[in-house]
Amino acid sequence: MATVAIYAHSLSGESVYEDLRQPMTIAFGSRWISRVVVWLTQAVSMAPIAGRSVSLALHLVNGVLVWRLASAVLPELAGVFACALFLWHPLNTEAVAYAANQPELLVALFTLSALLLADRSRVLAWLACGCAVLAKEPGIAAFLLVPAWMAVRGRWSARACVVWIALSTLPALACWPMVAGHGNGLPVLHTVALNLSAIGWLLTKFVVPVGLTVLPDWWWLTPPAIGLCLAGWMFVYAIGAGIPAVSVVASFVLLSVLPRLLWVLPGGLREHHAYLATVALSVGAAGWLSSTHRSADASIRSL
Amino acid sequence: MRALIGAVALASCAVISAARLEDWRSDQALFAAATEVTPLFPAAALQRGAVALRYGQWWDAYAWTIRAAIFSEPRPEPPRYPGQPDWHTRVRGQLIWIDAALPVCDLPAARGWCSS
Repeated sequence: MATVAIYAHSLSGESVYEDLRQPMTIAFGSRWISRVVVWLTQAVSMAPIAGRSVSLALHLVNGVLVWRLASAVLPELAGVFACALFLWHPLNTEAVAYAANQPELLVALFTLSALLLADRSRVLAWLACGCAVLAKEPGIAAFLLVPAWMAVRGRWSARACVVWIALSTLPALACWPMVAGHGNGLPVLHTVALNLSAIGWLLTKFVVPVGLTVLPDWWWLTPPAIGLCLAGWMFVYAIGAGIPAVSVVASFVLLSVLPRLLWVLPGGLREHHAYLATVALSVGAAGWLSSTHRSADASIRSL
Repeated sequence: MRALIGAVALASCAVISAARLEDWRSDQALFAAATEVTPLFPAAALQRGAVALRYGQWWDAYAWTIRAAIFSEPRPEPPRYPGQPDWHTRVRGQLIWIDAALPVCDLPAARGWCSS
């Protein structure tokens, strides 16, 4: 109810920004599941409120899945906190208020489902990962997040993870044209460093959510600024040397945005691209607040 | 103590999100009254169109450029810094530059800008 109250203001009104060309955005690439959701929504109503209501419903379902996921590794109350933080965090408002960003919400829906299903059935988890790719190409990250999640919790052996990743090669190859077709003339390493810095900067908004904008200006990402941002990532991992749970959260964040590191976007990265990454940050923050990171650290060290 | 930090964090998130979504609502009103749009949006749209063009995103460049031209129509002259060309000259210059790669000046929305 609180989430609906927060988002109530954004539901009505005219379409804005890329929602004005939403069908074109959805039609891009192989986003078949996203297309079906748009078709079904528009079959009911063409009004902007219809698409936004679907987005809000997807966000609420994702919140429930975050709660289920967090409850698997944290105390019950911490799971509720992770869910609330994910649902209410300002960094996620662009992903939800913008109907054109539904593919990001669907990617998170299928990725979270895959993580939860992996305990029961590898086939169902694999199919959920496939659905994430069919929602939006960066959903390919789901194929990496599942083995990482299962390995960290000691559920899968190294062999099982290798077999899983080998079986994920085909969908990864299917996504390759998406990356290969978006060159910017920069060396690959420069592109990766640029995107890694932009993602790092976006994720600082998780801690200090000020200066949020639908059109971030990346003019300041000059080589010295990129160097500073990369140093920030190294600093996080330096902290992780003492508190392994920090490294685990940072690694899950990186895995969730891995396809973005190679994908060059004309306007650069935007807040909704960090939607899946905020799952790991929400669970990590809940773990820190519940003081369970010490027991988590002990478990990680024992692996 | 950590419970207090958590409660404050959640309350802050809820308040900031609600405020941001109120801005979103303002943007919706802004788009509804496109002829009264502030000078900032066309500038951002043109900039985005130019960046898209640089990266070979033709349809994206096209969409943003046209949007900039449409939203730049009847509007008062914005303030400018000393030495800065007037708004009309800037929009026209950008449109003509983009027209070298995309036939934007043939479109009704942009024709008036390119020819004047």
